[in-house]
Amino acid sequence: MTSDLSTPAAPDGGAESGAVLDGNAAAGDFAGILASDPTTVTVRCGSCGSTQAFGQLSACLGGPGTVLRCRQCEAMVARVAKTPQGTWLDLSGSSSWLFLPAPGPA
Amino acid sequence: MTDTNATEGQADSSAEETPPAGNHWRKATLIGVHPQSWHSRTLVLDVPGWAGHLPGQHVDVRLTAADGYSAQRSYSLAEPATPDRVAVTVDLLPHGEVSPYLVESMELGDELDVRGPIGGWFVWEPGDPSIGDGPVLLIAGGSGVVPLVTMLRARKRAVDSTPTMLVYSLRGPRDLMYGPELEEMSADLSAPGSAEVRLVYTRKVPGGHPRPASHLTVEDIKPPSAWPEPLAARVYVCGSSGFVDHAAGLLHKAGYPDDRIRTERFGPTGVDR
Ligand SMILES: Cc1cc2nc3c(=O)[nH]c(=O)nc-3n(C[C@H](O)[C@H](O)[C@H](O)COP(=O)(O)OP(=O)(O)OC[C@H]3O[C@@H](n4cnc5c(N)ncnc54)[C@H](O)[C@@H]3O)c2cc1C
Ligand SMILES: [Zn+2]
Repeated sequence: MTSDLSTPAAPDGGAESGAVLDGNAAAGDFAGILASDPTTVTVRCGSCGSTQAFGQLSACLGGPGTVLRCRQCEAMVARVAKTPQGTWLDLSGSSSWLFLPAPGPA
Repeated sequence: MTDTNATEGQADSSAEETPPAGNHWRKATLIGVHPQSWHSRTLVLDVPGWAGHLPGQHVDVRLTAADGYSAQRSYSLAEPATPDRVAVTVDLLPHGEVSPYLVESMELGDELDVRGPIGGWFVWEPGDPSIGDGPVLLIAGGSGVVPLVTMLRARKRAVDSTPTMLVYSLRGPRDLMYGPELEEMSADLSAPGSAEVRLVYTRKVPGGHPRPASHLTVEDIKPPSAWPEPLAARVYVCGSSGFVDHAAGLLHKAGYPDDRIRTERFGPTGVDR
């Protein structure tokens, strides 16, 4: 049991059951929907009004869908779920999404 | 918008030259493997059409069984951009579903699917104007070292001289990834592309190592004396959630404001269908 990921012994790298990750881990699914990199988007929480980069939101993956929460107040700000009917995107917990201008020569 | 269906075929050709990031799967063929520690290895994949990526980005990897069952995980890109080529470094999670296959079973010529590059936030491109002259602090826990070493490699390739330090927390000597490369990179700090490297062993310390075993402390993230500034202009932290939270706490204690810290949490990314 040599892996740094293999025992529940945070903070040296330990596994937490149902670990909460961050928006970086959820980016693959959102990139497919938004047609743009989600991680640099500034998201404003609908509950407490704080802003954070999508990449820093806390993220729960692996359930029936991916849920993103505000790091300040833990409110749900965004959710994506794949169902037989199609893909649900629920942004009702956020009040705005600021997409940076595309990088490149000005 | 009424006849989008009819014109869908042309919509593609009129689109911007960069396709939407990371949303389609490509075939990848294993063309090289390099051991990195007792239980990790780098897999080099041939991916025709791979246009490149930034250090710190990741890919989603998908394995599909003969019966159609598939499993998907995220892995950081382990090398700076090279056309048609993707490398990942995977650490074995002994009872995991995907990592044992990637570390122990996959053979040259075998195929899997990748999509990406994904993520533009946890990235450091040499010359990034928002970092300026730096310095840059990289803090890794376990396999979280992978994207940070990619940043160091890109910086070396670009002969970028931003003062940089890697603080790497690991359990013991057997867990050290990229050992020879990190040693070489930190041997002569006046050489171009060199970086200060601090190894923080949390359980078992190799003979001759000055620091006793303990978790990362605020002492470990103190700037080297050669730095022009007491605080780094940008800090990248990567590892498990527990490690990242611990390191972020130390950074706050050391006086870092949130907007200088970028974090990425590794952990279960399983999507199994
Ligand atoms: C953005 C991102 C980048 C990543 N980059 C890398 C990388 O460069 N190299 C690398 O080796 N890994 C990386 N990972 C982790 C990787 O995606 C997998 O989680 C890991 O390889 C384990 O997959 P598995 O199928 O072997 O284990 P699973 O079958 O998914 O899991 C087995 C058991 O271990 C737990 N578990 C799974 N993964 C972890 C984990 N990482 N930490 C703690 N417990 C876990 C699960 O909850 C489960 O109980 C990254 C993750 C993210 C989100
Ligand atoms: Zn909030």
